[in-house]
Amino acid sequence: MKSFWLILSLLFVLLSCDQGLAPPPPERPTGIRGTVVFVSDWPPPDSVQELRVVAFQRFPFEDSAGIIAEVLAGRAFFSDTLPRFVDSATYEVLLQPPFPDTLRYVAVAWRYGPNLFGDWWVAAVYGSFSQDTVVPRKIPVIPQTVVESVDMRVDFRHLPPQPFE
Amino acid sequence: MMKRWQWVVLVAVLSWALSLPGWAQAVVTGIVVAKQSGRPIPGATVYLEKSKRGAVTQPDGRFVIANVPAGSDVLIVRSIGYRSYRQPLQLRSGDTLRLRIVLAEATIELQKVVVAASKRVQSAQEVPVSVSVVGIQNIELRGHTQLDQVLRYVPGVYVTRDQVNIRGTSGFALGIGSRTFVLLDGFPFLAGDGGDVKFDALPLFVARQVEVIKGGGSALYGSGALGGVVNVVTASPESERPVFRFRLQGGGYSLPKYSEWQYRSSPPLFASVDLAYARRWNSWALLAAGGYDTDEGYHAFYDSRRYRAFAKVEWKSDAHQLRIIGNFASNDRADWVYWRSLRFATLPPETVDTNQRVVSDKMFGGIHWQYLLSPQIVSDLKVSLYRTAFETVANGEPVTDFQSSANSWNVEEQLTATVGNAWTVTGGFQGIWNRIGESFVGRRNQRLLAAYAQVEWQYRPWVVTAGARWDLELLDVPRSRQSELSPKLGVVYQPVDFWQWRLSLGKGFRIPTMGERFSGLRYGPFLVKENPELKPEENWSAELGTTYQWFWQDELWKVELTAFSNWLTNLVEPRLLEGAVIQFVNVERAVVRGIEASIEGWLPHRWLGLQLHVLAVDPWDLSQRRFLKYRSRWLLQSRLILPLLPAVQVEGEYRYQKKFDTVDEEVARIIPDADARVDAHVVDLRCRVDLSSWLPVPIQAVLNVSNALNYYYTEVLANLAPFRAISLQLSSTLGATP
Repeated sequence: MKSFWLILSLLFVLLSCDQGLAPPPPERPTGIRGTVVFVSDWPPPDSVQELRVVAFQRFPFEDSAGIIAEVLAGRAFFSDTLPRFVDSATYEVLLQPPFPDTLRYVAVAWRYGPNLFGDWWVAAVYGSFSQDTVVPRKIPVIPQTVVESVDMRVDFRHLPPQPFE
Repeated sequence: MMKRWQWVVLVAVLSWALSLPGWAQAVVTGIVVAKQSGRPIPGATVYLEKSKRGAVTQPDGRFVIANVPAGSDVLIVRSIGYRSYRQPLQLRSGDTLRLRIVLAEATIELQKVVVAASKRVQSAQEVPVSVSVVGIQNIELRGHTQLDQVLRYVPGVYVTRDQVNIRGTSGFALGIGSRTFVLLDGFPFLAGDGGDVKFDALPLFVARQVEVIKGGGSALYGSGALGGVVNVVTASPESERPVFRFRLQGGGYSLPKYSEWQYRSSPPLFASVDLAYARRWNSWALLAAGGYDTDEGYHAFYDSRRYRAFAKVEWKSDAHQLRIIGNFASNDRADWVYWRSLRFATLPPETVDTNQRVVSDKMFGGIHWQYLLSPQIVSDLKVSLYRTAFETVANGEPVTDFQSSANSWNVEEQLTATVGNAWTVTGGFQGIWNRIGESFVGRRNQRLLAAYAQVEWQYRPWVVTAGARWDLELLDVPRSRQSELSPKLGVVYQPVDFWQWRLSLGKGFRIPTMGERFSGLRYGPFLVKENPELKPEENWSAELGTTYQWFWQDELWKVELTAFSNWLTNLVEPRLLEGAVIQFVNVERAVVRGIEASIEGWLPHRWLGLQLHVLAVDPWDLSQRRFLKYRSRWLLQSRLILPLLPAVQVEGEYRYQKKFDTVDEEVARIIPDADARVDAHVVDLRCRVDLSSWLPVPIQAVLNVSNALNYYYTEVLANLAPFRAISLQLSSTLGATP
């Protein structure tokens, strides 16, 4: 009987303790998500090499070299390649720490030629634009939150003003 | 009326009749011996419960109780350190009952003889400071193969990776330096370069006991004994027949329950084997042992392999005793310190080269010649060499400059004189020469010279001890010289046999090791920068304690309460500088105060054994007005022993250690999640089965489950303590006296 109570007490002690340290819970992703709608006809296949959504934390850019510098410095974030010759496509741009406070320029980048570093046009911008000016809409970055409905429309016949000459 | 002559005749006849041994009275005589060794036990109390008659055994273990009334009685025999013994007796007039009483050693060790407290053999009850003794029985039972494993179970002691912390005196110093002086059979056993303890080098398989002296011991041992002294005492062969011992141990670690920590699919395994041979031939004796263990480690790239060998030769004559000791240990282990992150806590940082390993050798040789100059004066000459060497290798080739080899020579002559019945005088000279070769501290020569004396006055119920030691350090590069004087005073008051009061006051010091002063050591991502200006740290320590022992239905109980205080100046602690550089600096002033309480004993009829120890410490940095770094303020250790059957015993141990209040906050900015730490709750379970009843050879089997809760905690920073480990151990002693 004594042994029974002892074993019961031991079990109580064993079961009442927690497990100590544990890995932190997995971090939720940080970024933006949305839909790109293609409202015009697609250009010929040989001039649509790839399409991606790209988000920059700095804007405006001084020139095309400035954009490349932003990319190389890790201050630009890309989606996966979007499907081509479709009416619409969803996308997701996930950010890696350290997170910026704000995304200041989100656009659909269209590579029309074989040059990986030079043959790019901006096909759409998140925000508004006229013939001469573009007013990108800023997106605040909330860590571990994916901002939804960052949607854009692509009209291959009417591209927004390019951020560089 | 009776005439006068009739009265005379009557008285004479009665006197004659009463003087006859057979007239209504009996004699109980015999010998009391120890079960394990068969040796006589002197000083045991033998008495008869009903008739209230008794005796104390002589040095040869014999006793005589005369004039015992006839009838039934109960004989009770008690001796500290042994289980009490009861035997009903039926005594007839004129009987002379001859008995051989065998006392079994108590599993919970209550009363011990220690060497380290005063550099001579004495009862723990005569020592004015707190003493803990771990016997070989408990070392074997827990399956320990390294000293740090043993020390984790000593009351008031915890181990912070490489640092022994007795009552909060030590923090964490990257494995460099030690405020606990470590001895092997009384020989110094600290490395010459880092001044650190090589836990894996001590021959625990042949240890008789591990003595832990809590409180400053610099008055006898000099630099390094600021927080206490640990002495590993090896066994001496007693049997003239060959005695073989072996121990086989094998087991595995539990896989971590979190998938992020699972770096392999099968449990990592570990195994060890130890063998020993002992024999005495008249005046000669030999003890030889060897062992090997391998451990896959409970982290990725955390494996180790160790070899060890030990030999001791003894020669005794009437006036001389010569003891020669040789010890060797080799270790080959993977090398990383801090985790990648708490998410990947079982993996090393990505910057660690997992091909790198640390290979180390530790060699020790010592000669102890004890010579009886006269019946009152004993001379002890000790000469020893402790060589430590390590290097970092990849595929067998040295890959970095992180290497070192150091020789630590020690010569000591000690005289112990007994003057009259009350005085014991101990004095001696000691020289230590640390010669450091190519190493992370550069080539250095450090010489330590010392002289010490101690006087002990015993006048029951008082024992008063006073002593002092003077140390001189000479260093060649840079040329320097410094000296320290360490006095001490101790008083023991023992009003009755089982009640002791003790008071001690002493000064201690520690000269910073070569590692702390000149290190170019790399520890994880940190580089340790030299600080040649480091000053010796000093302390004054005081202790007031009491120990009371009593019998509860023939089972001995002990309760102990100690209050202590330690005032430290120039305490040497690591400090993080800019750019992951660490430097050892002097913390101006600190005080470590606390209380230690313990109770242990067996419940009636030995159905349950209990041990409970609590340590409460207030380690305060007076300069920065905050807790000292890497100190736990609470430590609780408990143990339950439940003998289920004569051959089966189960045990449970629980250890609680409060998490450190302060650590190096700056480290947390360099190592991911370094601040993740929790209180430690460690439960060990074990079951010991004596298979002797079923097998033709005496084999003990022990099933051990350490950290049975699989509780995840860190001992220092950013490195998980061992996971749950389940092991089976088989051990046997063949040829021993039954």
